[in-house]
Amino acid sequence: MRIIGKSVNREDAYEKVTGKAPFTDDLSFAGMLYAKVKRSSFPHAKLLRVDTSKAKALTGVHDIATSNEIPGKNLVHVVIDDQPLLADGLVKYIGEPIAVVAAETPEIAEEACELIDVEYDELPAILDPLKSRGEDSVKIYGEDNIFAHHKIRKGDIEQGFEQADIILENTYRTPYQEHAYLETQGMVAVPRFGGAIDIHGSMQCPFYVQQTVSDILGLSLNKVRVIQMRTGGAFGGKEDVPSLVGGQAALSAYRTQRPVKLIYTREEDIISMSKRHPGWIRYKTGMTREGELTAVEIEFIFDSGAYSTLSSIVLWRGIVHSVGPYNVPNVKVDAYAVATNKVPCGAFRGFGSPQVIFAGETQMNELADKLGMDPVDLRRKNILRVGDRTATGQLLDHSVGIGKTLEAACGKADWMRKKEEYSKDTGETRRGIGLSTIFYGVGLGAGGKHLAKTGAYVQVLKDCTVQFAVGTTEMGQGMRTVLTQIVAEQLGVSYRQVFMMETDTSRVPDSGPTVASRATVMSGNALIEACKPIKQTMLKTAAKLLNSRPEYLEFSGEEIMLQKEPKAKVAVTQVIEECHNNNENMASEGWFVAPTTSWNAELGQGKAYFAYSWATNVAEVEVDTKTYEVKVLSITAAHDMGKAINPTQVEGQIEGGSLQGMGYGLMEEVLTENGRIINPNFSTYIIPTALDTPEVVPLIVEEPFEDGPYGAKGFGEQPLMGIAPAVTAAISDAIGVKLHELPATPERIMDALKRKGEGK
Amino acid sequence: MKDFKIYSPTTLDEALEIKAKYLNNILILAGGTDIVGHLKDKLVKPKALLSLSKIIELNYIEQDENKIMIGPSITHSEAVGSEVLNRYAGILVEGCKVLGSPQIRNIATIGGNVVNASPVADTVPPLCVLGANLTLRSIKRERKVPIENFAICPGKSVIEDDEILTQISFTKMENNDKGFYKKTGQRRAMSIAKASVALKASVQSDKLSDVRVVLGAVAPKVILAMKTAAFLEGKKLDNDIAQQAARIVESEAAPITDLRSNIDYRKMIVGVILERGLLGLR
Repeated sequence: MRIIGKSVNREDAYEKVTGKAPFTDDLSFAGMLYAKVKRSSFPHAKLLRVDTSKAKALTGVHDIATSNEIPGKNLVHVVIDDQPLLADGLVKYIGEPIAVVAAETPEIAEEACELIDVEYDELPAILDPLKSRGEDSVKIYGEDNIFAHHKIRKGDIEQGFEQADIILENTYRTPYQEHAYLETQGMVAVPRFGGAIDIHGSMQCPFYVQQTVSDILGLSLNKVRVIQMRTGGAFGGKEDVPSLVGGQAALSAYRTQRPVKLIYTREEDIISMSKRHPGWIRYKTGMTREGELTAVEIEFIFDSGAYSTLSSIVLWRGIVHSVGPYNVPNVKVDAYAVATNKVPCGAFRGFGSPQVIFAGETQMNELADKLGMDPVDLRRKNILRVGDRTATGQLLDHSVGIGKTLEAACGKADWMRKKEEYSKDTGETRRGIGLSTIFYGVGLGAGGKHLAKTGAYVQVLKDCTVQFAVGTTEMGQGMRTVLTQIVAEQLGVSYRQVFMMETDTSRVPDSGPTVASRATVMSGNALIEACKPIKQTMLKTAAKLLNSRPEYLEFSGEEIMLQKEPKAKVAVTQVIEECHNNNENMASEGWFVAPTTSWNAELGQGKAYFAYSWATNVAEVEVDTKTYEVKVLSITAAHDMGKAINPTQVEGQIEGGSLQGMGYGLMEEVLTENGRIINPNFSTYIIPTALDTPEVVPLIVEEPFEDGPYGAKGFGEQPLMGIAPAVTAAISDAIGVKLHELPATPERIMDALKRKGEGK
Repeated sequence: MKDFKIYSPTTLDEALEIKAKYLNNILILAGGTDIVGHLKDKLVKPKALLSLSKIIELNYIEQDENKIMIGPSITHSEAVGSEVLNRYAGILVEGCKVLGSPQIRNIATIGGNVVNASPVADTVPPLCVLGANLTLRSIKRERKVPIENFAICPGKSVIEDDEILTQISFTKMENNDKGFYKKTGQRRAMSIAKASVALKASVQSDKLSDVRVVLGAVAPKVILAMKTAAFLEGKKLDNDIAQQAARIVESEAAPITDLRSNIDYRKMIVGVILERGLLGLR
């Protein structure tokens, strides 16, 4: 292939590196106003009075909207309809929006927010997720504070544990993680003629924003157009919550009939936007003396915050991934998403899986220790292979690359030798090596079937360039480049001749969200569909030029040629010109619906995802035995993504994901005190810096997926997911400490060692 | 954030007059890496800002036979690049090297770091062990304050409302003088100390004299570890002495549990830093 599998430069690299790429805050319109949001100061309180009179009197203030001023439904629809755009008589978390101010400058808007007088009647709050389900707890959602309960029942769990020679049970805790995207949330809403409105902003899912703006303003969908701006990072943090930002900007713009810009500050963004769910996981594993898994029983709770948002499907992905990429005959899983009076949690790279993977992989590593077996051998015994069934009973019939990733990563990292060598360290610093094996269900799966569709539009212009549009978005992950490569490969033109238009709800039909590492498979396939009629037209036209028949011709590089001798050929550019001369339609739409999935909610059985990608991570660390500081020396990560359409971008994903996963494992933690986030900025929310970055060795394994474009399964989330347990396993290998709580800060390692000492 | 005047005088006399006029209603901008954040967060609401950046007479590193004099607007990067400081005040250079990031070190000043009166300031423990004096000037008077008497608690110091820090001076380290500044943070750059230790001593054939030990981030201000210093005075450096000193310094630390760390870890870590630093002097 000419372009697929080649590491062409990122399509948007130049404009981003040179600072030319316009982001939402760079947008400006004549007469534009600036919005600010007034937010709750209490985790749970009745709103007795929201007095905006003083704020309205401030010069330069054009509008203040509370829930009373919403013309349509006061609703941000995600899954369960429980979240208002603006609090209506009740606030359920600190930072919950109460009113939106529009003023001539951001400073005036901010001052007006301070002048809004809110009288609260504070209510008891539920802050501890483990107490949320209790009978005596304050009820903030339904009768039991449970947004969702998902389960898996497979085999006979009691029999499974009876067959086990060894049973390991542990409780794990994982923290909130903040996305820390470079660009904070922001939207600009612009009223248009005919009562319509345009929304420009930073987002993953324009069709979600379109729905919310339509609901809020009571406008039909055909009058709401959403245009995605360059988006400076997202990681799931711009999946559902931009609907709040867009709804707020739209409300002000609609009421004032002026363009309105709303850009969140970093602090506002951290306290009020979604996070990775903190997890509490009780994990019980049964295994034979030979190292064969007989049973896994898991109960886990996700602290979901004040509104349900995406928690139900985050939890669902959590259960599907909770047992890991292993053959386990007997499985029982119960998972709960519970309500608390804290910021609503949502999507974050891995989507409910990193929490359970930390627990599951730590179990595997500790079981290997107990059996005196090498953790790599333990994986070899238990990993899924073609013909096996997952914990949800799904038959794996092809594209199962986990064994290859295991051998690739351990081979490259020189596992056996290092393990031996590091065990001989005697000084004040000790090295260690650890491992994790993971799988990842690509796409929305059975939990999001109704959204599993995508559209595409392709047009070949008379100057032989191509423009295309899709309904998924570029958020920094590299979709633009990958899809540009696919279109160029399909149409026999060069990479530079193809240009992706900005994602805009008016260009392609609702294509669902850009999440779940789905854009390559979904939009890639839709584009291939869109190219088909155009290619047919080109073959027909080429046949005339070559005095042949279309079925005898094929695309070959940037030419169309006869399949057999005499191999007469014509340049694609000449064919395109001829097509235009003949008034042929050189534009087309494409549509793709994901391969089917299925789910039995009672048993938690079914074909959860249409495909899985697989990975093995090997982490090497150096631990200071006195200060318990950990230096990650290297991460060797082998990933099977079916096909690396752009290998350099795949490697970039592995490097970035490894670092974000290392942050999750060692230092990142949103801290709360009485429901208030106390580290809402980057001097107190600690993420890794360049100096903390280990050597990352990315390895690509390609086990093609037959329904993917060129065999690709999609790639984005996987590199983060298994890093934390590999790193903690390496720490454990170095100094013999068991770590069941993240992040593994030196303070936590010290405490764990103390407990171990006391245990003896 | 913009409701204030900004003064940017070119002479110290002008600056002192402005300061005398506004007193505590004006904030001095000497780099601004802390102040600008505070202004944005509305933690401070001054009527005016007084920038020192254009006052050339406050930007110097000078020496005479025994002493080094530093102007308050010397940045951390300038200090790291200074031959004089590298030769005669290596401990201070160590402190300057580990503050923030290259971008912050390029703009943050030593004067700003000192006047902040923060217990986590990276240049203060080094300056303390060097026995630095601060020259504080107003239009009426000039006085010198030993740096260890400067801070009172986080953000509060003995500086008067009409005063500006105009000089930091200390005795040069001599040939036998050795020392270190080391800190532990939450990561390897852009990191605020969980705990830090500075030490200076005269070392002759492993024997210590004129020992000064100073601790950062383990009390409301940077503190002198007097007992530890007294214990080390006259001792010959070996593993045992270093370990004993570590136990003593742990007892002198009075840390708190906060966002960055906890009491137990901080007490432990000052001991480890001191022990390792001492053994590194051999």
